[in-house]
Amino acid sequence: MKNILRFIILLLFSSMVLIAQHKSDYATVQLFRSKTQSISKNVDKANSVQECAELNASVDALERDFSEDKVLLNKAIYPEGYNRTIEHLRAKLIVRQKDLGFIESQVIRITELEATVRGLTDQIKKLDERNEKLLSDIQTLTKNVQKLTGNLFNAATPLDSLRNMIVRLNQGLQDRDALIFALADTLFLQYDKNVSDMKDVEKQGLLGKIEKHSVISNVKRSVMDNVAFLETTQLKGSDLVALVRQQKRFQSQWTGIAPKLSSIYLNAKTRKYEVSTVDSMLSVWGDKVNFAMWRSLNSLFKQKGFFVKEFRNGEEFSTNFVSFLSEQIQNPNEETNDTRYKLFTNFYENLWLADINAIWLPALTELNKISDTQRKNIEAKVEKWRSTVTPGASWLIYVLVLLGVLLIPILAIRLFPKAPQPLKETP
Amino acid sequence: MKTTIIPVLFSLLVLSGCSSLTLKPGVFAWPIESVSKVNEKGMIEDNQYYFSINVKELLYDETQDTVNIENVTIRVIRNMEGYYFMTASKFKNVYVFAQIEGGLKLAKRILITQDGIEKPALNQRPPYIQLLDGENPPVLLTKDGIVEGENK
Repeated sequence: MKNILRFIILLLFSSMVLIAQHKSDYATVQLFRSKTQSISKNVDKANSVQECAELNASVDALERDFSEDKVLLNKAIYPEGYNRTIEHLRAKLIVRQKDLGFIESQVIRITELEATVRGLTDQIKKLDERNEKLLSDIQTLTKNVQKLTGNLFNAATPLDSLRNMIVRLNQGLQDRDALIFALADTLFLQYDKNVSDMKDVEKQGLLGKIEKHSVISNVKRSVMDNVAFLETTQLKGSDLVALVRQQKRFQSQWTGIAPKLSSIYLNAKTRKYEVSTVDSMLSVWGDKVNFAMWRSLNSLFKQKGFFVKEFRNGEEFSTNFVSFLSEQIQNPNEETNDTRYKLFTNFYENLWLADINAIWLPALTELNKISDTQRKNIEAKVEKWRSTVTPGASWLIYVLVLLGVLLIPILAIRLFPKAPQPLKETP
Repeated sequence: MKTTIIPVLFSLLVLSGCSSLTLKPGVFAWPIESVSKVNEKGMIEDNQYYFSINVKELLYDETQDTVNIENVTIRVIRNMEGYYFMTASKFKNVYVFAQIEGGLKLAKRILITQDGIEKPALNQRPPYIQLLDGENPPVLLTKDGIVEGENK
């Protein structure tokens, strides 16, 4: 038994070792050398404080990325090795900074921002991979569920796992969106001044960084991913409202950085093209998410059995819903009190309290799809409808009345028993 | 009698002083492999370990071709014991050489794959030499052959 256990441990250990060592030492050394040479050349060429900060961050990254190969590099690169190569690069950079007259604290601050930028870029890449995998899993699972929804559909269909994946992907997309705008903000922060006050060289430098970290491509990808998510998941109700909110937030964040991005492009044609492409993609996303939202609300009325004329925007929704409510109040078909009461109760309990008043009206007002006045008007109409209906008499009420009639004498006898007879006096 | 004993004793003293000097243990391992292109004369030269050698015979042994030898990239690494391991892309074998005066002598030809190694790389993994080939599982070698892994 011990021997088997030992064999298994040995097998696991040897496979771990094999996985860990599955790279060429020569290639590692060559990569370290080429990165070192590239940084060294860029130090010679550096002219701005941002470039120095970026190089500082590059040396940090080099040190971090190759720390696991320290022993190999110390042996393979003679006489410098890993430690002295890094020291030489740092010393060379300090000399360059001094030659250019930059203050150390300024370089350190921008280096920190540069490190933040790199961290954000890495996180975005990781989220890209995770989101891509989730989206593909959701697509596969959705297809499987669709196949199963024939005769074979039952409670075991993995809807919970699909729902769970959708929630995770939605969160992943939101996190990614936030990271992209944080990345763009941090890049602008490094220059510590308004774009309009920047020299052309600085603009060029910033533009280089924006392109290097693929800010605009990332924004475009975010929009595309969000549209793909919307089309794949076919969400409803509050989930869709959340997506509309996301789209609005994204739009407003883009509106914040678009003018800055636009002004750093020295070439007017490129500027116009890049910004307008994102604008039109955002507009497509907005249209799609709005269309999905109105479609979802229209089908909610149908599912619950209320025939409100179809609407495609806030104005139409308000008009058609109010007209439906007015019709119920006026009662043109002269329905009986009982029928009207039942209809109102169904509307009030299953649609109004659960969905319209709880989710949709606050969301539509918040998203400026309908105005406060329109919302109040709808609420007033519902109240008016409530005041015009009264419960009709039913057999249950007759039974209750009969029971009441029978119970009153019984209760009276119990509560007021006969007064005791006075005892006869004995002579 | 005396005349024969004295020269014999003298000879024994001289011989014992010359032949028994041994330096041990020694480690000759290179930390990383040397990667060099074969020039038109069939030579490879390395600037890190400062050696050069003619590999025409090696190429002929592997490919039976002495014409198209230029620009073949030869990968060499030396193990702890001092043996040289050589291979190249499309080679079926890893060649193990021992050092001799002014050259190398084949000690072992290790067959790796009949299809040829696609992307070879040699790593120092004392006491072994590790052979990588792209995504294929790594193989551990000694001067005598494969230690771990199997022929593909």
